[in-house]
Amino acid sequence: MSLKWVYTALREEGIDSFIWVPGSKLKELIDEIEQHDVCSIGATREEEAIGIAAGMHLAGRKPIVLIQSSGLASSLNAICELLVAYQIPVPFIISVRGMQNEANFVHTIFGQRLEAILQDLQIPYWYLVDEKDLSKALHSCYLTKKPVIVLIR
Amino acid sequence: MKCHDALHVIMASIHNEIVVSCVGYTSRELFQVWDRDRNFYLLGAMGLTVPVGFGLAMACDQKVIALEGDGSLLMNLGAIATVSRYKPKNLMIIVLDNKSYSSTGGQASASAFVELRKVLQSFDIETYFVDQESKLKKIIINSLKADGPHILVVQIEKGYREVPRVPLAPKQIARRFIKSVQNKEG
Repeated sequence: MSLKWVYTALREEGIDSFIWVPGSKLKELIDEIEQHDVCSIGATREEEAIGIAAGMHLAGRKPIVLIQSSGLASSLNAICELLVAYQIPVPFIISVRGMQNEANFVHTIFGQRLEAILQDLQIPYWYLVDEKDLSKALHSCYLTKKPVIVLIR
Repeated sequence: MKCHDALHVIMASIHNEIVVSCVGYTSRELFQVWDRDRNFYLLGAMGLTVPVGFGLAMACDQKVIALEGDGSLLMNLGAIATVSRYKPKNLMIIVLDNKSYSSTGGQASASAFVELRKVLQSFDIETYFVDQESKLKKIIINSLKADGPHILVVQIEKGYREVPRVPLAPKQIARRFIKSVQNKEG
Protein backbone atom coordinates (compact mmCIF):
# COMPACT_ATOMS: atom_id res chain seq x y z
CA MET A 1 0.00 0.00 0.00
CA SER A 2 1.41 3.38 -0.97
CA LEU A 3 1.22 5.83 1.88
CA LYS A 4 1.98 8.97 -0.09
CA TRP A 5 -1.61 10.18 0.38
CA VAL A 6 -1.06 10.24 4.14
CA TYR A 7 1.20 13.28 3.79
CA THR A 8 -1.52 15.38 2.12
CA ALA A 9 -4.16 14.13 4.55
CA LEU A 10 -2.02 15.09 7.55
CA ARG A 11 -1.27 18.53 6.11
CA GLU A 12 -5.00 19.07 5.60
CA GLU A 13 -5.51 18.16 9.26
CA GLY A 14 -3.07 20.91 10.25
CA ILE A 15 0.07 18.85 10.92
CA ASP A 16 3.01 21.15 10.21
CA SER A 17 6.08 19.20 11.40
CA PHE A 18 7.18 15.60 10.79
CA ILE A 19 9.66 13.95 13.15
CA TRP A 20 10.79 10.51 12.06
CA VAL A 21 13.08 7.57 12.52
CA PRO A 22 12.91 5.51 9.34
CA GLY A 23 11.19 2.17 8.92
CA SER A 24 10.94 0.13 5.73
CA LYS A 25 7.15 0.46 5.58
CA LEU A 26 7.43 4.23 6.09
CA LYS A 27 9.89 4.76 3.27
CA GLU A 28 7.45 6.18 0.72
CA LEU A 29 5.78 8.47 3.24
CA ILE A 30 9.10 9.84 4.53
CA ASP A 31 10.32 10.31 0.94
CA GLU A 32 7.12 12.23 0.20
CA ILE A 33 7.54 14.44 3.30
CA GLU A 34 11.16 15.18 2.43
CA GLN A 35 10.15 16.35 -1.05
CA HIS A 36 7.94 19.10 0.31
CA ASP A 37 8.86 22.41 1.82
CA VAL A 38 7.73 21.44 5.30
CA CYS A 39 9.49 20.94 8.62
CA SER A 40 10.91 17.41 8.46
CA ILE A 41 13.36 16.20 11.10
CA GLY A 42 15.16 12.87 11.18
CA ALA A 43 16.00 11.85 14.75
CA THR A 44 18.65 9.34 15.77
CA ARG A 45 16.28 7.32 17.96
CA GLU A 46 12.60 7.27 18.81
CA GLU A 47 12.79 8.72 22.33
CA GLU A 48 14.62 11.67 20.86
CA ALA A 49 11.88 12.09 18.24
CA ILE A 50 9.31 12.22 21.04
CA GLY A 51 11.31 14.85 22.93
CA ILE A 52 11.62 16.97 19.78
CA ALA A 53 7.89 16.70 19.05
CA ALA A 54 7.07 17.63 22.65
CA GLY A 55 9.25 20.74 22.40
CA MET A 56 7.61 21.73 19.14
CA HIS A 57 4.14 21.35 20.59
CA LEU A 58 5.10 23.51 23.58
CA ALA A 59 6.10 26.26 21.14
CA GLY A 60 2.75 26.06 19.32
CA ARG A 61 3.43 23.73 16.40
CA LYS A 62 1.50 20.60 15.43
CA PRO A 63 4.10 17.86 15.03
CA ILE A 64 3.62 14.15 14.34
CA VAL A 65 6.07 11.33 15.08
CA LEU A 66 6.66 8.55 12.52
CA ILE A 67 8.45 5.44 13.76
CA GLN A 68 8.23 1.66 13.62
CA SER A 69 6.91 -0.43 16.47
CA SER A 70 10.33 -1.55 17.79
CA GLY A 71 10.96 2.13 18.45
CA LEU A 72 7.71 2.35 20.36
CA ALA A 73 8.96 -0.47 22.57
CA SER A 74 12.10 1.47 23.40
CA SER A 75 10.19 4.73 24.01
CA LEU A 76 7.45 3.80 26.44
CA ASN A 77 9.16 5.75 29.22
CA ALA A 78 9.25 8.95 27.18
CA ILE A 79 5.61 8.51 26.23
CA CYS A 80 4.58 8.07 29.88
CA GLU A 81 6.91 10.48 31.67
CA LEU A 82 6.82 13.27 29.11
CA LEU A 83 3.72 13.12 26.89
CA VAL A 84 1.16 11.58 29.25
CA ALA A 85 2.47 13.18 32.45
CA TYR A 86 2.66 16.72 31.01
CA GLN A 87 -0.49 16.30 28.88
CA ILE A 88 1.40 17.01 25.67
CA PRO A 89 -0.74 15.80 22.76
CA VAL A 90 1.58 14.26 20.17
CA PRO A 91 0.14 11.89 17.56
CA PHE A 92 2.14 8.98 16.14
CA ILE A 93 2.12 6.97 12.95
CA ILE A 94 3.69 3.62 13.70
CA SER A 95 4.41 0.85 11.24
CA VAL A 96 3.87 -2.46 12.95
CA ARG A 97 6.47 -5.18 12.84
CA GLY A 98 6.01 -8.66 14.17
CA MET A 99 2.29 -9.28 13.71
CA GLN A 100 1.57 -11.18 10.49
CA ASN A 101 3.92 -12.48 7.83
CA GLU A 102 6.91 -11.22 9.75
CA ALA A 103 10.15 -12.37 8.18
CA ASN A 104 12.22 -11.45 11.23
CA PHE A 105 11.34 -13.43 14.36
CA VAL A 106 12.83 -10.90 16.78
CA HIS A 107 10.04 -8.40 16.03
CA THR A 108 7.26 -10.83 16.96
CA ILE A 109 7.87 -10.78 20.71
CA PHE A 110 6.84 -7.15 21.22
CA GLY A 111 4.71 -6.94 18.07
CA GLN A 112 2.27 -9.57 19.25
CA ARG A 113 1.79 -7.80 22.59
CA LEU A 114 1.69 -4.30 21.19
CA GLU A 115 -2.08 -3.85 21.36
CA ALA A 116 -2.32 -5.27 24.88
CA ILE A 117 0.40 -2.90 26.08
CA LEU A 118 -1.27 0.14 24.50
CA GLN A 119 -4.60 -0.88 26.03
CA ASP A 120 -2.94 -1.28 29.43
CA LEU A 121 -1.40 2.20 29.16
CA GLN A 122 -4.76 3.57 27.98
CA ILE A 123 -3.21 5.00 24.85
CA PRO A 124 -5.81 5.08 22.08
CA TYR A 125 -4.86 3.53 18.72
CA TRP A 126 -6.40 3.06 15.30
CA TYR A 127 -5.40 0.95 12.33
CA LEU A 128 -5.03 3.12 9.27
CA VAL A 129 -7.55 2.40 6.54
CA ASP A 130 -8.47 5.84 5.20
CA GLU A 131 -8.41 9.57 6.01
CA LYS A 132 -11.19 9.19 8.54
CA ASP A 133 -8.86 7.22 10.82
CA LEU A 134 -6.31 10.04 10.77
CA SER A 135 -9.00 12.60 11.39
CA LYS A 136 -10.47 10.66 14.32
CA ALA A 137 -7.05 10.04 15.87
CA LEU A 138 -5.93 13.67 15.64
CA HIS A 139 -9.24 14.95 16.95
CA SER A 140 -8.98 12.63 19.96
CA CYS A 141 -5.33 13.61 20.52
CA TYR A 142 -5.98 17.34 20.85
CA LEU A 143 -9.30 16.94 22.65
CA THR A 144 -7.96 14.62 25.35
CA LYS A 145 -4.41 16.08 25.40
CA LYS A 146 -3.02 12.55 25.21
CA PRO A 147 -0.78 10.83 22.69
CA VAL A 148 -2.62 8.71 20.13
CA ILE A 149 -1.27 6.12 17.75
CA VAL A 150 -2.21 5.32 14.17
CA LEU A 151 -0.91 1.87 13.29
CA ILE A 152 0.12 0.77 9.84
CA ARG A 153 0.06 -2.98 9.18
CA MET B 1 31.71 26.02 41.42
CA LYS B 2 28.64 24.44 42.95
CA CYS B 3 25.58 23.57 40.88
CA HIS B 4 23.34 26.19 42.47
CA ASP B 5 26.00 28.89 42.06
CA ALA B 6 26.33 28.04 38.36
CA LEU B 7 22.54 28.09 37.96
CA HIS B 8 22.34 31.46 39.67
CA VAL B 9 24.95 32.99 37.36
CA ILE B 10 23.28 31.47 34.28
CA MET B 11 19.84 32.75 35.20
CA ALA B 12 21.21 36.19 36.10
CA SER B 13 22.92 36.36 32.68
CA ILE B 14 19.81 35.77 30.61
CA HIS B 15 16.58 37.69 30.07
CA ASN B 16 13.64 36.28 28.21
CA GLU B 17 15.22 33.03 27.03
CA ILE B 18 13.32 29.77 27.27
CA VAL B 19 14.96 27.28 29.66
CA VAL B 20 14.57 23.49 29.71
CA SER B 21 16.15 21.76 32.69
CA CYS B 22 17.41 18.21 33.17
CA VAL B 23 15.60 15.68 35.37
CA GLY B 24 16.72 15.27 38.99
CA TYR B 25 18.52 17.76 41.15
CA THR B 26 19.14 20.15 38.25
CA SER B 27 15.41 20.88 37.97
CA ARG B 28 15.02 20.93 41.75
CA GLU B 29 17.90 23.38 42.19
CA LEU B 30 16.69 25.56 39.33
CA PHE B 31 13.25 25.84 40.91
CA GLN B 32 14.86 27.00 44.18
CA VAL B 33 17.36 29.33 42.55
CA TRP B 34 15.19 31.06 39.93
CA ASP B 35 11.69 29.80 39.23
CA ARG B 36 9.86 31.40 36.31
CA ASP B 37 7.06 30.44 33.93
CA ARG B 38 9.53 30.03 31.03
CA ASN B 39 11.38 27.22 32.83
CA PHE B 40 10.37 23.79 31.61
CA TYR B 41 11.34 21.38 34.38
CA LEU B 42 11.83 17.79 33.31
CA LEU B 43 10.74 15.57 36.20
CA GLY B 44 11.41 12.34 34.32
CA ALA B 45 12.25 11.16 30.82
CA MET B 46 16.00 11.29 31.42
CA GLY B 47 18.01 12.04 28.29
CA LEU B 48 15.41 14.29 26.67
CA THR B 49 16.58 17.76 27.78
CA VAL B 50 18.40 18.43 24.51
CA PRO B 51 15.65 16.98 22.26
CA VAL B 52 12.96 19.08 23.99
CA GLY B 53 15.16 22.19 23.78
CA PHE B 54 15.96 21.44 20.14
CA GLY B 55 12.25 20.98 19.32
CA LEU B 56 11.45 24.32 20.93
CA ALA B 57 14.26 26.03 19.05
CA MET B 58 13.15 24.55 15.71
CA ALA B 59 9.57 25.65 16.33
CA CYS B 60 10.01 29.29 17.36
CA ASP B 61 12.28 32.30 17.01
CA GLN B 62 12.93 32.72 20.70
CA LYS B 63 16.28 31.76 22.21
CA VAL B 64 16.31 28.44 23.99
CA ILE B 65 18.70 27.20 26.66
CA ALA B 66 18.88 23.47 27.42
CA LEU B 67 20.33 22.98 30.91
CA GLU B 68 21.67 19.47 30.63
CA GLY B 69 23.62 17.15 32.92
CA ASP B 70 26.53 14.98 31.83
CA GLY B 71 24.69 11.72 32.59
CA SER B 72 21.54 12.76 30.74
CA LEU B 73 23.58 14.03 27.79
CA LEU B 74 25.45 10.74 27.50
CA MET B 75 22.17 8.83 27.62
CA ASN B 76 21.17 10.42 24.33
CA LEU B 77 24.34 11.66 22.71
CA GLY B 78 22.78 11.12 19.29
CA ALA B 79 20.63 14.19 20.00
CA ILE B 80 23.77 16.32 19.58
CA ALA B 81 24.25 14.84 16.11
CA THR B 82 20.69 15.94 15.28
CA VAL B 83 21.43 19.44 16.59
CA SER B 84 24.50 19.51 14.36
CA ARG B 85 22.49 18.26 11.38
CA TYR B 86 19.86 21.02 11.59
CA LYS B 87 21.87 23.67 13.47
CA PRO B 88 19.16 25.87 15.00
CA LYS B 89 20.68 29.32 15.51
CA ASN B 90 18.64 29.97 18.63
CA LEU B 91 19.76 26.99 20.70
CA MET B 92 22.34 26.99 23.46
CA ILE B 93 23.13 23.79 25.34
CA ILE B 94 24.71 24.23 28.76
CA VAL B 95 26.11 21.01 30.17
CA LEU B 96 26.51 21.10 33.94
CA ASP B 97 29.28 18.54 34.17
CA ASN B 98 29.95 17.02 37.59
CA LYS B 99 31.12 13.74 36.03
CA SER B 100 28.60 11.82 38.10
CA TYR B 101 24.97 10.83 38.62
CA SER B 102 24.33 13.05 41.61
CA SER B 103 20.59 12.47 41.83
CA THR B 104 21.05 8.74 42.27
CA GLY B 105 23.90 8.75 44.78
CA GLY B 106 26.95 10.12 43.01
CA GLN B 107 28.03 7.17 40.88
CA ALA B 108 30.69 8.15 38.35
CA SER B 109 29.43 8.84 34.83
CA ALA B 110 31.46 8.10 31.70
CA SER B 111 32.25 11.81 31.67
CA ALA B 112 34.82 11.01 34.37
CA PHE B 113 36.68 8.93 31.77
CA VAL B 114 36.21 10.79 28.49
CA GLU B 115 36.67 14.48 27.86
CA LEU B 116 33.17 15.70 27.05
CA ARG B 117 34.48 18.93 25.56
CA LYS B 118 36.48 17.03 22.92
CA VAL B 119 33.60 14.68 22.18
CA LEU B 120 31.21 17.60 21.70
CA GLN B 121 33.63 19.60 19.57
CA SER B 122 33.77 16.69 17.14
CA PHE B 123 30.08 17.27 16.33
CA ASP B 124 30.97 20.49 14.55
CA ILE B 125 29.16 22.73 17.01
CA GLU B 126 30.81 25.75 18.63
CA THR B 127 31.78 24.44 22.08
CA TYR B 128 33.15 26.35 25.04
CA PHE B 129 34.42 25.19 28.41
CA VAL B 130 34.42 27.06 31.68
CA ASP B 131 35.39 26.08 35.20
CA GLN B 132 35.49 29.50 36.84
CA GLU B 133 32.37 31.19 38.08
CA SER B 134 33.84 34.63 37.32
CA LYS B 135 34.02 33.81 33.58
CA LEU B 136 30.67 32.11 33.21
CA LYS B 137 28.50 35.21 32.83
CA LYS B 138 30.62 36.76 30.10
CA ILE B 139 30.71 33.56 28.06
CA ILE B 140 26.93 33.19 28.23
CA ILE B 141 26.26 36.82 27.29
CA ASN B 142 28.70 36.68 24.37
CA SER B 143 27.35 33.35 23.10
CA LEU B 144 23.78 34.59 23.18
CA LYS B 145 24.77 37.58 21.03
CA ALA B 146 26.09 35.32 18.27
CA ASP B 147 24.24 32.77 16.15
CA GLY B 148 24.15 29.27 17.59
CA PRO B 149 23.94 26.48 18.15
CA HIS B 150 26.43 26.68 20.99
CA ILE B 151 27.46 24.24 23.66
CA LEU B 152 28.92 25.39 26.94
CA VAL B 153 30.43 22.77 29.25
CA VAL B 154 30.47 24.07 32.81
CA GLN B 155 32.63 22.16 35.24
CA ILE B 156 30.79 21.96 38.55
CA GLU B 157 31.43 20.21 41.85
CA LYS B 158 29.90 16.86 42.66
CA GLY B 159 26.88 16.74 44.91
CA TYR B 160 23.84 18.92 45.44
CA ARG B 161 22.16 20.64 48.33
CA GLU B 162 19.22 18.87 49.87
CA VAL B 163 16.51 20.69 48.02
CA PRO B 164 12.85 19.63 47.84
CA ARG B 165 11.15 18.28 44.74
CA VAL B 166 9.66 20.74 42.28
CA PRO B 167 6.26 21.40 43.88
CA LEU B 168 4.41 21.68 40.56
CA ALA B 169 2.44 18.99 38.74
CA PRO B 170 3.82 18.26 35.26
CA LYS B 171 0.66 19.54 33.58
CA GLN B 172 0.94 22.75 35.60
CA ILE B 173 4.55 23.18 34.42
CA ALA B 174 3.42 22.68 30.81
CA ARG B 175 0.39 24.96 31.09
CA ARG B 176 2.19 27.99 32.51
CA PHE B 177 5.13 27.41 30.15
CA ILE B 178 2.85 27.36 27.08
CA LYS B 179 1.05 30.45 28.31
CA SER B 180 4.33 32.32 28.67
CA VAL B 181 6.01 31.09 25.47
CA GLN B 182 2.97 31.25 23.19
CA ASN B 183 1.24 34.04 25.03
CA LYS B 184 -1.94 32.00 25.33
CA GLU B 185 -3.72 29.44 27.51
CA GLY B 186 -2.29 25.91 27.14
